[in-house]
Amino acid sequence: MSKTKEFHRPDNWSKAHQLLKRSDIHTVPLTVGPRPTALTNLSANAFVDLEKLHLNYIQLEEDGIVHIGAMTTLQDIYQSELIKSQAGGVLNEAAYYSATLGLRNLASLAGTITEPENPPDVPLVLMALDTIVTVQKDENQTRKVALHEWMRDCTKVLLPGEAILEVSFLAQPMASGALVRVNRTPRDKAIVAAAAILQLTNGVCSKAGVSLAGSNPVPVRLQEVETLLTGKLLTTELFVQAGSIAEKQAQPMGDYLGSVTYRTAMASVLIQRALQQAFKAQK
Amino acid sequence: MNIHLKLNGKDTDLVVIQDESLLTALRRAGIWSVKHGCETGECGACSVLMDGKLVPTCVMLAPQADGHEIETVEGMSEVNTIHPIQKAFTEMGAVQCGYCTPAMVLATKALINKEMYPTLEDARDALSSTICRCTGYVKPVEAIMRAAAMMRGEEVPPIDGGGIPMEIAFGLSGESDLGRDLPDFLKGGSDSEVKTKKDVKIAPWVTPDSQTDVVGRPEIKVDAVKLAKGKPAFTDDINLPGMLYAEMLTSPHAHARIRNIDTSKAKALQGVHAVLTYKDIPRVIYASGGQSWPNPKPWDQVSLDNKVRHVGDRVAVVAAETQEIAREAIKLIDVDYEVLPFVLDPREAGKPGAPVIHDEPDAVGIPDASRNLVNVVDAAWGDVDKVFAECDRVFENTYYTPKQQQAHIEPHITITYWDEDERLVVRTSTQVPFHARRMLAPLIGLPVKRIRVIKPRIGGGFGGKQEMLIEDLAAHLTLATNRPVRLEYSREQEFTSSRSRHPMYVTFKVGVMNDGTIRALDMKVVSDTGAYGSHSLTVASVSGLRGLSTYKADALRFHADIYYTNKTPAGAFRGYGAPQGMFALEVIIDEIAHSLGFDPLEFRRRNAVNVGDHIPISTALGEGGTIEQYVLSCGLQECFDEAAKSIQWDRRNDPRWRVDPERPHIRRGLGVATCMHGTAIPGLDMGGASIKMNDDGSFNVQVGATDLGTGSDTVIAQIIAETLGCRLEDIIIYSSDTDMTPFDVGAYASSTTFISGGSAKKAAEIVRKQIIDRAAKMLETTTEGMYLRNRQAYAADGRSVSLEAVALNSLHTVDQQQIMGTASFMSNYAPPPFGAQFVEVEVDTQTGVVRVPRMVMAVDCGTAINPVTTSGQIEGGQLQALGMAISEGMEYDTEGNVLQKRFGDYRVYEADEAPEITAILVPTYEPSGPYGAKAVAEIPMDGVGPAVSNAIFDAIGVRLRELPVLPEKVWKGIQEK
Repeated sequence: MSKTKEFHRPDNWSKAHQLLKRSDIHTVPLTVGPRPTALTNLSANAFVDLEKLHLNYIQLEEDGIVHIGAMTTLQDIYQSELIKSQAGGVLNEAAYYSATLGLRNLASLAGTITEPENPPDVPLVLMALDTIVTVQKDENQTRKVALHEWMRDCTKVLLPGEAILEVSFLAQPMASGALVRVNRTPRDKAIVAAAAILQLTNGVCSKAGVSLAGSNPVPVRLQEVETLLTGKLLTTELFVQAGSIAEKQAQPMGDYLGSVTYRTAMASVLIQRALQQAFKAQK
Repeated sequence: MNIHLKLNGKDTDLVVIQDESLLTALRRAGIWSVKHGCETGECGACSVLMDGKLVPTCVMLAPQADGHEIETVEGMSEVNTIHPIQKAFTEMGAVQCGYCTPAMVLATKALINKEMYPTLEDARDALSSTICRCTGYVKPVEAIMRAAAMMRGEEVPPIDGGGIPMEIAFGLSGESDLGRDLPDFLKGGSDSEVKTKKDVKIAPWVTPDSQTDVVGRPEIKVDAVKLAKGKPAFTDDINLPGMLYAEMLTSPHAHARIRNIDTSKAKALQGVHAVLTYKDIPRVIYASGGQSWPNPKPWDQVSLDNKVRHVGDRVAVVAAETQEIAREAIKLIDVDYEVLPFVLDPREAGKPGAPVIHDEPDAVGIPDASRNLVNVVDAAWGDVDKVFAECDRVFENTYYTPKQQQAHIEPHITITYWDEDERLVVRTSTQVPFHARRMLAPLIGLPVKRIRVIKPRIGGGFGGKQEMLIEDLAAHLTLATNRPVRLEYSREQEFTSSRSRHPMYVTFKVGVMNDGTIRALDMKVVSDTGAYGSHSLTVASVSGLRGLSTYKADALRFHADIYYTNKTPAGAFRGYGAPQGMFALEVIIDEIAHSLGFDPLEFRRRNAVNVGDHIPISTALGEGGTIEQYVLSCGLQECFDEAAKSIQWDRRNDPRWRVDPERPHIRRGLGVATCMHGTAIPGLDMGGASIKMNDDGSFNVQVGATDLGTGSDTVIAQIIAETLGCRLEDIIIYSSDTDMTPFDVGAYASSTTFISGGSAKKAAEIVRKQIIDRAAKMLETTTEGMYLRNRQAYAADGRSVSLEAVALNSLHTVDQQQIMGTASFMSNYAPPPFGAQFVEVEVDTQTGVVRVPRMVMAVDCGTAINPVTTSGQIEGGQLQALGMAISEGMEYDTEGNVLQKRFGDYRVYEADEAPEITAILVPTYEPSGPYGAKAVAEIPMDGVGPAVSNAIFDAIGVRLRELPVLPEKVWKGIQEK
């Protein structure tokens, strides 16, 4: 008979860390994403509820950085005025499309970026925003990981004893953003999705963030495209070039929802469309 | 561990297990309104308000609720009170099966608490996390808007209106139409008038005095209040002392023989009471489809076998003290499999060398097991080849429809126990309680008379519960343990181990003349029944029946080959073969119309059947025997008119509408499909009803009919109330209990209003006669001209006596007699309802994504006994059909594993992405039905798929002959154009 799993709700990081670092029992932070796993399928033997650690916040600090706590819910992100003021509110949109209301109320940011099968929308937009993940290593130490690195294998970044503290990105109130998706129904998890965030200064692209999901095994940030666009006057030709880069970099896994051919083709179509929409919004 | 929470406003301590779900803990605490629908938080039936926010509880650990405030619908009202939100849901017809209603009510509460003036968008977002498979979300959204108005203190319009003219309802002579012979017009002669639309006015034009009082009116469903209040009405909403929990071990292989099973470790686990395999129970061959005796062949199943034929097939079953112990025990069963080759494609299954799926010698009625051929159906009328030779043009194409899953939110669940008389009680979520009892008896070795099947409220069925699916396993476990046993499917098991729609390849060949006259139709079907032949013969037959009935022709031919494959078995699913046949028919009709240069709507009008037309193929394909069928009532042309007007059909000729300048990659289009269905199985389906009068003039009604959320209890009660001149609340209806109610075949084949309603009307007429006889004596007059209305029996001279006085007189005073009546009804007619389905699409020409902003369906279902429940059926059915068209279809990997095992992956439309859905009722009067009614339940499944395909063609000129129209299929079509 298997042992009943443990549940803990520590009220400070010290206790949380003590629980999470145990090697004799598989202990994980209790986080729910927008695509939850059935409780009976959870492999951990002990769960640490971080509710009392005050990780539900969205703040703009004086240094111009937006901080989102790990336990901030998708609904909080969706409803946040601060988030709406960033990059045209594309992160709000991503939060909305990630889950329906009930799951948005339950799913946390941490849960959203730690399960590869989750809808890609929020990670995509956060990657395009050049987001950093801050991990609480122990009571006193943190470490930082770029989200696009994190997403390469989001299940393995956290080490025993660690928990996500927050994500942060440079505030981009003047930027515009777009999230475009191919799916069966409007709210369905995207088969292929692309996010673009653009900031123009005197008509020149001063900052670009571009990401893509569904055309590679994991969501990716297209830094080559960002480099292509940055410092240039944006044109349709450049967007076509960007699409070609996305298509060339595509290494999709085909399935019943989209073959390799389709997902590769959509990489180009959606990157161009996301850039065009973001550009249009910028104008 | 102990947790402390505020539960519905009261400080509450709960003892919970640390890793159990909050759902489980709440239900154990008697909070029955919180329902299990999935294990992944995606269906939302388990939702509560936590600190005022809607959250699903199946993915929350119970301890997470510690220190929080939890609200459920139990806290919203007391006995004899109802919260305005619950009231609005009942009034607007937002409660169908009611399984998800508590979650919707809570979502509404959370919304209105935050926003007193919600928009439609707010309402849809609030409902988005509750999947409703019944309503199409139309009426729940309306209920939210009404509830908000009520809670703002505004006056809301009354729920009233409707009714049909009394002279139509009761006939000029006041006699019932039921059971009479062929209508006169079919015999010829002068008295050939048929009551069709021209005789029946829509409600606003009818003077109130001439209307019926109950029939045709939007009465609140008789079960709506209890469902909105979350009362314990469903199978699982009881606690039985000593109940054991069952779990199934299922096959990981698509095809394998079981060399041996070792259950010793499982049996040794503390808390395990029984482990059953094929070694432990008698081998009795049966067919699981819930159909009339004798069940159509093949009989190819046993409760537990030494061979498995699909991933998810039964291997063993365990009963234990807790669910967790049962799950652990399952893991301890060692199975030695001899893995066998398998086949997943029905087109390959019949070829030489294909693995033989049913090689067991005791299977009965498989025509050619060596070729996996389950059934062959052939039918023809007229000289088909000769007529084809005479045609100017012949068109032929092949079409495919997918393996759609019923996805009722309440999973299959059965609780079995011995009663005090040592009779086995089977409390089960079934559409076919009487069939289930009869079919179960031989499997467990008990006579029918020692089994009682009770069907409580059902959380949706859609055909998935027209199956004796798990009752046998629970019963075997009760027999083995002498304890109550509860067996429930998980959502994953609904996909791996339940039933689905039969996927079909349909090849249609149509011969036409250049003037647009259809002359010949030839339909060939390859159907995939999966691992077992459940419903395979009759589903394929209905495909042919529906495919070859809608349009007039001189010659018809049908052939179906049905094959086994190593996939989850198919079975009954709303529409029952018609959606497959109608998809092929309505797309090829569209193709022909375009090819010949006809407007597709006009081409349909020209060729569709009408009143008086013979349906020749029905004699060859009818399940109930060779019974000639005719169209006795038909409002199809009016359906075309009304729906075309609503969708603005002429827009398709406006280039400015077809292209959106803001979204240049989008093209718009409109599509149409004709719909024609059946009403019950003629000569076969039968239902019974019993009515008795009480002291106060109310009536107890017992019907075998199975209300699976459609509102049949209400419709039947309305028919009886109208006939007996009383109000709906005077009817206390009890249904679907094999001990207590008369027989009924069950809820399928669009039969309940017509068949069960027919029996109810006949029984009520018997009672009415007894009341009138007694009232005449009490008033010392004759029965001539007497009638019942307003709870009174009126004499011709205007004097009256109350029904209560009649009841007291009969029960206590003079010539004491229980006024009561019992009747059954069977019909040799299967009057077809008709419909016109229109769909608007937007197609993304760069990605192939198809969006559907609007669907309109006009339906002639005869008299709508209850226009709200009727339109609810049409709205919900359209959305279910849209799922099959756009997103729903079970797919398998190369090893035979179904790829969609949860909601989300298996994509069912949610509230905030559903299109605008319109249902239009076109009243006609069906002379063979109760108060002129015919069916409505299944016809909404028939037209959406082809209308979507036809709309896509209208938008971009690409013809999609395969559902669902996933983006890549459309994109490929665009690339190949």
